[in-house]
Amino acid sequence: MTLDLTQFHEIFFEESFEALDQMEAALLKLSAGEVDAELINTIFRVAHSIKGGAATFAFNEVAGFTHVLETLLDQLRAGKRQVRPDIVDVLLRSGDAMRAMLSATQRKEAIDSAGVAQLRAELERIMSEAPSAAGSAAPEQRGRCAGQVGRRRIRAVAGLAHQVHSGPRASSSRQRSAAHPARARDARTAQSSVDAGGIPPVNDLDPEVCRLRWNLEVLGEIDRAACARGIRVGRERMRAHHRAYRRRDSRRGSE
Amino acid sequence: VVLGTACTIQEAAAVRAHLLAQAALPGPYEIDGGSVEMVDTAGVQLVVAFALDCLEKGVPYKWVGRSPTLNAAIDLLGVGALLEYPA
Repeated sequence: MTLDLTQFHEIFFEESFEALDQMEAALLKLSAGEVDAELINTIFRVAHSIKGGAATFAFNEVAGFTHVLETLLDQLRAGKRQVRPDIVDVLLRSGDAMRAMLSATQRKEAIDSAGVAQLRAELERIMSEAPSAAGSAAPEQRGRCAGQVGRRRIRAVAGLAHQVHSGPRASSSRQRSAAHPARARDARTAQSSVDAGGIPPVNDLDPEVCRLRWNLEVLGEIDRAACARGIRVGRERMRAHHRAYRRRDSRRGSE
Repeated sequence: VVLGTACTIQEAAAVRAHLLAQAALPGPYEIDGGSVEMVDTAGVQLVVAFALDCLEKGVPYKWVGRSPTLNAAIDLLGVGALLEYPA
């Protein structure tokens, strides 16, 4: 008798998305230069578990990419490589890429192979560098790390409403931006702008993929924990919106 | 170009088809969003894409109506400046 593994796909996807949330939360707590064994182990376990599941279900692109990510995480876990801002950034983008790959696989759509290959090359480039022992990062490096993570995450949260696309940008001929200071809580310290440069012509636009981008620039010292809290609140609000959508859609569907 | 009462991700395919059909007609266009009662980023994004298409082709358009809901969404997403055809 052959076991039909497809019946477990949805559970795998659901658990993987939850695990990626944990991984992201752990990555946001990582500090440059520090080796927090518990955090890195959490991140490693997520990657390891998704790799194993993906291989079991023959989601080979997911498994292959996650294997490379796992190797880098193993180096960080073993203290062979120092946690740096650029590494945290690549890890965060790797989490986004895994989510996008899993979403595409779940919807039986094509994976953005070019984007994945580019990210994989970045991971491999980092691993090809000479190993460095873990140590203390300079203060400005730590601050830069927090800033990079904060801007990145806020930008992602701002793209809420539907799927956040992280693929390549469209041609610059369509790049438009509009300053939008009204959205900033304090115009002296923050300003947001929308970037429509990634929106293709209507004819080429997948209407379910968000191509709009928002840039939020916040000037000044920002506490990492406060930034992470803001991101969590934003994410919760986003999920509440999605739940409300689903409820509304199901009501409309049953009418 | 008439936007219906619902302009969300659920109607996005239909809205896109409508915009493409209208874009096949010679401009200038009039965009009527006065009836919009439900809208999300997907709906606004389509209108922005249409506006950018018009801008690139040099085909003018003007708004003949925008519901408070649509205006609120445009303001929330900060795309107001993208939706005005330059004078």
